[in-house]
Amino acid sequence: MDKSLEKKIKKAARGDLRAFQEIYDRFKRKVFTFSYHLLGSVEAAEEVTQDTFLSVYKNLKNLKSIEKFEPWLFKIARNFVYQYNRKNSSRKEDSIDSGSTKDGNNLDFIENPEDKLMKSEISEEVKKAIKSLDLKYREVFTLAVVEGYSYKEIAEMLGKSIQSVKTDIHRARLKLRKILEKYLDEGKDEM
Amino acid sequence: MKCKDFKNLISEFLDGEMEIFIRDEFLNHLILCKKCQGEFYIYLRENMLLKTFLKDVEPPKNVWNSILNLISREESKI
Repeated sequence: MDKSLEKKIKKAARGDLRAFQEIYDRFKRKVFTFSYHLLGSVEAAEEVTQDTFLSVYKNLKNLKSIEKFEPWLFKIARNFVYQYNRKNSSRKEDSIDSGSTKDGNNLDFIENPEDKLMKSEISEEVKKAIKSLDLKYREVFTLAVVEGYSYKEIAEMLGKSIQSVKTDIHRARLKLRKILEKYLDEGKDEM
Repeated sequence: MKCKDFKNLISEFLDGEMEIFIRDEFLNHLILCKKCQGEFYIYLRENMLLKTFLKDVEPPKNVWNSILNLISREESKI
């Protein structure tokens, strides 16, 4: 962990709101993205992000090892995701919001209306496919593929073995592959 | 390496988690086995598709203000 983050954590633990805001700015996207892909709605991700950072602020002084800040932060976020999921599981699932992606314009070079339609169709299918996974697969998959954490880091965050993380990610890919099959076969024979 | 073992290792390879000592064996199998090349290609496409469409999402600006409000509410209780 870099020294400046360590300093900010120590300051924030003493109630320094400016330091806490810097910590928020550094990790907000990760926590929000994680919650958004797990719960599939901006509203849910907002609630989880708020609850997570409030809990971080209140409990920072109890954090035993500053180096473990990030896994600790994700453990808190994960608890709120599961809490939100339990609370809302009886409610009819909302359609998935589009959210505002960091580089959502990356694909805007596709100007053709048919291609744009296709892009939007695939985007919806991908979100539906992710949402169809069990929460335990969705979380490991999001952390590995979207957030780019190593299997070791994920194992630490989720309190699982590395082998279990490996297996869950592999199973998630297998399941997603079945759902997204029609987009994956094109061009296979051209190899 | 058997095809079954190869398939089970594709995920690790794509996530950059493969141990160096297995990588050569894995790549040799990929070069020699047509069937596994097709399998690998599908996983590769899946990975590209998911990475393209599952992006980082920026939280709305109001989230920080809500957190500040919650903190000041909590602190006023003390």
